[in-house]
Amino acid sequence: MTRQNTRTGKPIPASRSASPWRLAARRFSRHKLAWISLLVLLLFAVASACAPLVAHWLGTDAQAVDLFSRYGPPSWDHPLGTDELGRDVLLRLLYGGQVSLMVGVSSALCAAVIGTFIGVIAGFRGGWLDGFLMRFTDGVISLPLLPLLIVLAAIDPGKLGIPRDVINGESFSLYRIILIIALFGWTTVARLVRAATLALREREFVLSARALGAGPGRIILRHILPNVVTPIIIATTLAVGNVILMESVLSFLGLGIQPPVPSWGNMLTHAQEFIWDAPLLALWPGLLIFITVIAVNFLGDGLQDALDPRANTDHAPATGQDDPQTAQ
Amino acid sequence: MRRFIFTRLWQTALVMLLVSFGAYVLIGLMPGDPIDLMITANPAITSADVARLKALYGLDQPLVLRWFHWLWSALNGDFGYSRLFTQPVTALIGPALINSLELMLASWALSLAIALPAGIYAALKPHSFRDYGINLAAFAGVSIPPFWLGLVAILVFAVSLHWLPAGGTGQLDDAQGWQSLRYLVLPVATLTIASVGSHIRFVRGSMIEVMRQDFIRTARAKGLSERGVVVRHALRNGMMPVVTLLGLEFGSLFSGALITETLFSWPGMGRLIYNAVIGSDYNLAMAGLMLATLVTLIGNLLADIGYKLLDPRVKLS
Repeated sequence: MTRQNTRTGKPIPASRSASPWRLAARRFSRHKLAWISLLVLLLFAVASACAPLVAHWLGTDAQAVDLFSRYGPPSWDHPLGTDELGRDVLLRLLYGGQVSLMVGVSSALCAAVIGTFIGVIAGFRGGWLDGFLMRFTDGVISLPLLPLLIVLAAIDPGKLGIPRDVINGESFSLYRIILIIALFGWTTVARLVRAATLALREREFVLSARALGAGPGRIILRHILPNVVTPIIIATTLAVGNVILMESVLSFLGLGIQPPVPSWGNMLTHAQEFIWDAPLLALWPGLLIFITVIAVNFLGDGLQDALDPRANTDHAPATGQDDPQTAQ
Repeated sequence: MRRFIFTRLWQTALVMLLVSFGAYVLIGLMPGDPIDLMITANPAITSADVARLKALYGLDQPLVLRWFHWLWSALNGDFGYSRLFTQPVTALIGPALINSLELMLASWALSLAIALPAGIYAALKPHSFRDYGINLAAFAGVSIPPFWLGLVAILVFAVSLHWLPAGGTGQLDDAQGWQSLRYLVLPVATLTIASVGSHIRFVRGSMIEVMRQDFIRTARAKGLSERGVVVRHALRNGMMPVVTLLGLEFGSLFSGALITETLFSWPGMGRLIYNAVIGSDYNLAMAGLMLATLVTLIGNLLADIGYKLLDPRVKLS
């Protein structure tokens, strides 16, 4: 539907009605790699969402052990062969994709919520609270990430008083890993949001809102947050890639997603033992992690170009993706 | 400057104190505390025995007191005994530190030797074909899961081609001289690929930022050759953020690379911490975690000081 001029009834030419979002979409569409990445990610999402359907067609499920057909070659029944316990590799990859994507997106979102909350409070209130929160953020950033994540992932939730039947539930390790990674991932967003809030706080439209009697809650919700949403989106997109890497590392080390639930990381836990028998088995999960993470990074890069044309992506980026503390 | 360092040292000590308490609480929450292990090992144990054992080891005291006790011993250089290796923790950390340092220094040097020229080369012609290619490689390096990279390296060079050993340091195989260097190749290559991507992007970003400055235009307007502009004016300024990066990564030289070391059975700090956590070796895990935190914090401090020394415009708070 084209929009019409209210007085003359003539349709307004599309070029004049270009909203900021449409301009951003246009800039994004020029970013070919980002487009391909988006398509790849959508494909992965749809494919892993279809995992139960595929299981139905193949007449098996991702956790069906068949010790008589270990390390099976690709066949009609098992298109990518079978693993060290005779389970179907394709199905496990698809279900693992569900886990990786879900952990990536939800953990990054959790981190964004925590970071936005802390950043807005620090930037808007200022004073000692700002000083305290930013010292705290600096402290968290300066911690050795991976050793701490491993300790956090290794603690026994039973000692925290969480009932055993909850802990032994299948999805417990999923929620746990989401929470643990979010606990350390909010710092980038917090810093970005604080800096943006500090600048916005002094702008005229905030002053006029205050003069009209708007309370701090309303100013934050209606005037601050809509203006900081762009950096949050970019940082969160880039964080998804990091989270997926982190999850795969922890699961690989046996501290993340617990078997029998498959994840791309824990499918490689025993890779060093079966690498002699079935090298291809070690290839697929890592390749999928790699493709997903690089696609997310390209997407984030494209979004940055599209949403934030004034900020130059050639800057030493402040968006955390080039964090020197990479998982090694 | 002196005041700044002094304040920062105090802050570092404070963070260390907080982290040590947090880590103490967390490590106490790991499964398999010593008394639990004794209970499972001895079915004839009675609850009175358990209570006595707890009193003996001081586990009946409140958490804060126990932490304080740990802190006091640690400050006196006593980190206790490692349950896993049945040795004093301090005796284990020394060799592990040296092994990590060897591995990390080699990969650090190699990564920078690639990233500095590549990043600068890309930055001199942004959005050109070569910039595009280098950027693509850097993105790939940032996105590759390091443990998988190590696995593939083992698969290709150790399992299929038999060129290089799959892990270890060679001490067990009595490797001498340059033979022992062969054990370094795969872990160093893995670590380098894992870190070179972010290094390249960092160098490139910082150089592009500098090349846009007014003093570069002035230097060009003076008629300086492009080479002179880059070498005399751009590099000096463009390398300042890189010094910060080096400081931030300084800690990892000592805390090691947890994944790579575990994968290649390299007996460094990262593997030690991992083994301690997996094996519920409380004393060792605590000491390893504290050391990793300390060196990271010192690295951050060095980064700030280095930045200030190189750029007098930077104000320290």
